[in-house]
Amino acid sequence: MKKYAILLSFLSLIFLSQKTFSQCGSLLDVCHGKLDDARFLKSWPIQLPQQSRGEPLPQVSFKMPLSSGTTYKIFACNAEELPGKVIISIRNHNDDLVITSYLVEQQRHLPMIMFPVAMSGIYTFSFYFENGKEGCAVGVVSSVN
Amino acid sequence: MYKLKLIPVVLSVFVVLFATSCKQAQREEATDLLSDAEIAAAVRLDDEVIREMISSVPNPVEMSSLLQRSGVVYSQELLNPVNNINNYNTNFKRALNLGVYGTNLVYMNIYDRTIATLRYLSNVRDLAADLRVEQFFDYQTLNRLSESARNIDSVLFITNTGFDDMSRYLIEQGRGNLAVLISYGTWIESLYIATHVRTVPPNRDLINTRIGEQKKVLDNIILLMNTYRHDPNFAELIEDLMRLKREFDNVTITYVYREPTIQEIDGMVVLVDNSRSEVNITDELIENIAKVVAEIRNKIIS
Repeated sequence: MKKYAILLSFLSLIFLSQKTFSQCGSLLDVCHGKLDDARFLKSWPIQLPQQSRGEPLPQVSFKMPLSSGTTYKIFACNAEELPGKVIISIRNHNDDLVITSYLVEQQRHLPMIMFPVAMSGIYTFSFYFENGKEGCAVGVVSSVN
Repeated sequence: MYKLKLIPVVLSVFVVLFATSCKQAQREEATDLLSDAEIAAAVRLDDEVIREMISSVPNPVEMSSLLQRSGVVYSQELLNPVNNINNYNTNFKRALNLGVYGTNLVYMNIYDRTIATLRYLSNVRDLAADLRVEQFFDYQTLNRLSESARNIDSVLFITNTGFDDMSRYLIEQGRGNLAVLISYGTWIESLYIATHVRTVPPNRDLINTRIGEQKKVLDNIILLMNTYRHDPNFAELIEDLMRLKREFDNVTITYVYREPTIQEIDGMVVLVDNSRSEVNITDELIENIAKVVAEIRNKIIS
């Protein structure tokens, strides 16, 4: 009987993890709806483990060229099955932080960032989850003009 | 009687099998560039670096959108003729031209030439199938959506994500060389269209600025291509790109860095980036760049 219980728990675990992964993978379809009139340019799937004690915050970065004279609408969608809330930070080619989707002083996540670019160049988009929690999200960059 | 009934069924199956084999025979198997494995460890870039550098190549949607917004007239004659696909018998050529046709597809969609896109869509599907990455293009859905100009954003969304997913997959499969070529094909075609459309003031300045900004992208592409320089085909591409670089070296880009300011409007953050970039590029320089780009691009599509 004990054997069956262990087997059942094991199978449930596999099933649940697969379900989480598949929902994580289909996030872009959900996130697509937030585009409105913006024109889709790029998306990145983000899946990060929980931060381990003494280890640096897990994060992932991507580069993308942004052009002056264009306003970019940048946002992300979180998978609800995992606790992590994604934070986006953007740096210019000089490695200066130009914007983040989390206002530290107000402890508030912003639903999206509108970024009218005046300096063309290759920007770095970094994604990590609040308090180093495990999370899954998709980041989207679109243009609005 | 039962046997007689079976004859049309057997005949139909035979016809379908014959038609399929004929279609496959038209497009020859190519064996070049099947893997990155032969690259010497000393020059091999990490997959993550390749992915990042490919990501730094501008999306053709941006250049085409800029042209359309600037009132530039659509020019079908600038596109790679659909029948050219029959000339592409190596994976090298197929990957480059998958990028070229992909950019053509984007350009046509942005200008609402949805019906005309069908043959280009078919070319993208065929080249992707030749490279064994057709799973990233939902041809049936794209075909259906292309019937109406109202679906342009959905078509662009599916095409864009298809190209991104395909690139990730190729890198994971150790076929990053193909991902690099596809990406390069999209870029050179975008640049070719931008440097050959008829522009008028005042939008000419904006388009010329965007062309000048490609100087930084070109540097990245050369760096990326260099990984594969042991391959004679890549070596030739690099040689061509160095010619282009000599022209772009005359473009000056200056940056003025200032602290950004943030405003919040209706719950949305608007970043006022007070830093500026300025591109200095003359009409003569644009002409020189256009000439070299045309030579490179025509070599690719021939």
